[in-house]
Amino acid sequence: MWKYIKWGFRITVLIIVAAFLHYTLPQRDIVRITGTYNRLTEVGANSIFYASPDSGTTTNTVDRRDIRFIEAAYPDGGPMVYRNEDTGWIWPPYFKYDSSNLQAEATNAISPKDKPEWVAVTHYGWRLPIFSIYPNAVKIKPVAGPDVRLIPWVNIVVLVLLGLLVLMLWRMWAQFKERMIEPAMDDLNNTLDAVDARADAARDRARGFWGRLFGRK
Amino acid sequence: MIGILRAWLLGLVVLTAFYWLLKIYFRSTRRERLEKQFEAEAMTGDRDAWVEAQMKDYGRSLKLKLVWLVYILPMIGMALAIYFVNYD
Repeated sequence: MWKYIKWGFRITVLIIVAAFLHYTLPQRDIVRITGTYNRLTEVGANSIFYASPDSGTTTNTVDRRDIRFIEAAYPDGGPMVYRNEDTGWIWPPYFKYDSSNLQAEATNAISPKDKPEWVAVTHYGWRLPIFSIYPNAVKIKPVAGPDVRLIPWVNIVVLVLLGLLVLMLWRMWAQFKERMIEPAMDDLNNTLDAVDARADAARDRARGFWGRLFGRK
Repeated sequence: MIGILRAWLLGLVVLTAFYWLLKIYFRSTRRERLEKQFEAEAMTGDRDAWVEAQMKDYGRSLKLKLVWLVYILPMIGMALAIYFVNYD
C-alpha cells in the first residue's frame, strides 16, 4: 500500500511541476490578429493569473482594472484572446514593460480574413474561459504563412538549465550525505553497538547471579 | 522604481544562497579529491596540514569562477531577456 502512496505522491508532484512549467514557459501561436481593445475587467479570485497590482500597467486596485486585449484567429478559424499586461519585475521573469508598444504593434498588424497577415504571438499562460483567464502576449512577429515551423529555442535552453540545476542539487545532497551524514551515522551505529554489547554483558552477569541464587541445583 | 529595487534585493538574496551552496560543494569535493591524492601517492607528513595549504590556493581561484558563474551570468541572462522581450 505504501508503494502506491509513494508513487502517487511523486506523480502528483511531477504533474504540478509540469503544469507550472507549461504555464510559465513561452509558447508561440501563429494567428491572424483581428482586433485590439481594452476593457474594464473584474479580477477576483483568479488574480494569480493576472499581473500583480503594482506591475506598472495600472496602479489601481486588484478587483477592477483596465486591461488591454488582443483578439486573434487561428488558421482554422478558431478564436483566441490574449491579454497584454506588463509583468512585474519578479515573476514571471519576462521583464515586460512595453505593453503599450505591443498594443500599437498588434493594432498595426490587424488584417482581414481575405487578405490575412500571419503573425507569431509569443505568450505564456492559459486561455481558460471558465476562469476568465487569458494568456499574456509578450511579443508579436510577422511570419511568412500559417505553416511556418517555429523551434522553441528559449524553452529548450530553459529546460536544459533546469535539468542541470536539478542535477547539481542532487549531487550536492549526495556529497553532503557522504561527507557529513554518513560519518555521523557510523559513529551513532558504533555507539549503539557498544551500548548493545554492554547491555548483553550486564544481562549475562545478572543471569549468572540470580541463577546461582534461585536456580535448580 | 520600488519594483526594480525589490527584484534586485530578492535576486541578491537568492544568488548569494546559491553562491554559498556551490562554494561548500566545490570545496568539499576538492577536499575529498586531495585526501585521496595524498593517500594514493603515499606522501609523508601531516595530511591535514597539506590539504589545508592546497585548499587555500584553491579558494582563490574558486571565488573568481563562482562570482562569474553565479552573479555575472544571470545578470547577462536578465539583460538578454529584457532586450528580446521589449526591444526586439
